Amino acid sequence: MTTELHNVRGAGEAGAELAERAKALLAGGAVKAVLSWRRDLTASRLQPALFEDVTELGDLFIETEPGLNLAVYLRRAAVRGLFPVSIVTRPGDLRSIVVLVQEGQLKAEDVRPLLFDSDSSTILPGDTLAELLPWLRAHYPARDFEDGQMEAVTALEKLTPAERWAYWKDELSRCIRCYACREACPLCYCERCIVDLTQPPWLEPSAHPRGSLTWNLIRAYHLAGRCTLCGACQSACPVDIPLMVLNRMLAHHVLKEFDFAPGLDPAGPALLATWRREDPNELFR
Amino acid sequence: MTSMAAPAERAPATPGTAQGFEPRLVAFVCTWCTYQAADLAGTTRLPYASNVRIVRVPCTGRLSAEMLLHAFTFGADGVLVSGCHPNDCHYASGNLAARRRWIVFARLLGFLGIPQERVRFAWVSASEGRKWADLVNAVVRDLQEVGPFTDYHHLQRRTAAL
Repeated sequence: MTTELHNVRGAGEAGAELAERAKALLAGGAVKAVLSWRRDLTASRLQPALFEDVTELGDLFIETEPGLNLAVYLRRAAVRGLFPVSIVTRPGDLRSIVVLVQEGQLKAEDVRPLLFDSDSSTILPGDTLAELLPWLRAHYPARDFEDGQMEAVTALEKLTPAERWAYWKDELSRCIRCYACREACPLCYCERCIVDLTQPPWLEPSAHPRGSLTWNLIRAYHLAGRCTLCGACQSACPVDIPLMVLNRMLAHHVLKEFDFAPGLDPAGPALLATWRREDPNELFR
Repeated sequence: MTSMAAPAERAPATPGTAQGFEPRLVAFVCTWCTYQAADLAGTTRLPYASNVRIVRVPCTGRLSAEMLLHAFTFGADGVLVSGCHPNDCHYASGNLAARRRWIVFARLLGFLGIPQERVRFAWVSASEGRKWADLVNAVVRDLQEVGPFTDYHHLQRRTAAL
């Protein structure tokens, strides 16, 4: 598997602009560090990197493919100690930062995000949430459902429940309960995850199919109305479980039934902590 | 419209029914309404399916999805959640918050292929003893049709494919 690399030089104008923008923020003292990517020792892959020195910024890369979401590092003490930091994001990543602000995990002034839009291959103007939110709101959630993942959701929904059960039983039985999906997700920030609680043990911790199915169900549910579809969980999964199909399905229905899309309003309500009197009632006898 | 039926017609889930299967139904009920309704059903001497095990909670808003799944893990064939009608919550809006959660949760269960008969939601007020009895009977009847939840219970055994 080869990963196409996009560094400050290789990604053309966008890369050069990113380096300049990061440099200006760091050199001007607006931020104490820049979270981005650099090549690993083999120079064949990108790894997350924290740049504290302007002279190192020549090593800065953009990962243009969805995968690792750098916002996950914003909860690390080593990074928090350097706030305010700049962070290189793609739209899904930036929206997860918005959710972190919305949920009180982060102060908007502690991050100066740089936003790379892979559709136009440009770095968007602005490096604060307030400046970038209008662009996000203009393009999302509509763009969320334009890719192929929604087709997988629709195809599964056309199957009978028994067929869907067989499909998910198969997929989720591969889970080895490494919790890489949880660790990769910026929004899975609970200090003690429900699956690690043992008195009582709400979810079976063993990697047998029943425990794994239940874990994956709860993981998806706990991200309902919060997941910004960045794709970090699925790309972290060592056994290729299509986690994004679950996330996409929930995002789609949350939008349809509650007109709600996460990560676009840091001051807005959280989906499952609020309600409306006119919420659908058909489910209830 | 409910009417007083002869006791024999009102108790469908007796041993030796056509299916011969007695489902285990766990009902999570709000103490302010459905629990009182179940009490009323008892004091009114309404016979209804004895398959239901009642778990009393202060409000449907207290419940989380883990609790429902816990019931399945411990052998339930079906789960019933019942609380106060919208706008009747003792705590003003616990049931409305719960309603949203269950809509999302039920959607997820359906997407995984878990039959909707397995997880049911209802609003039953304290005065609706009859509705409670009918509801339990209906849910138990549905569960008898879909059978035991071995799809889930037996998942713990490694499948042949693994």
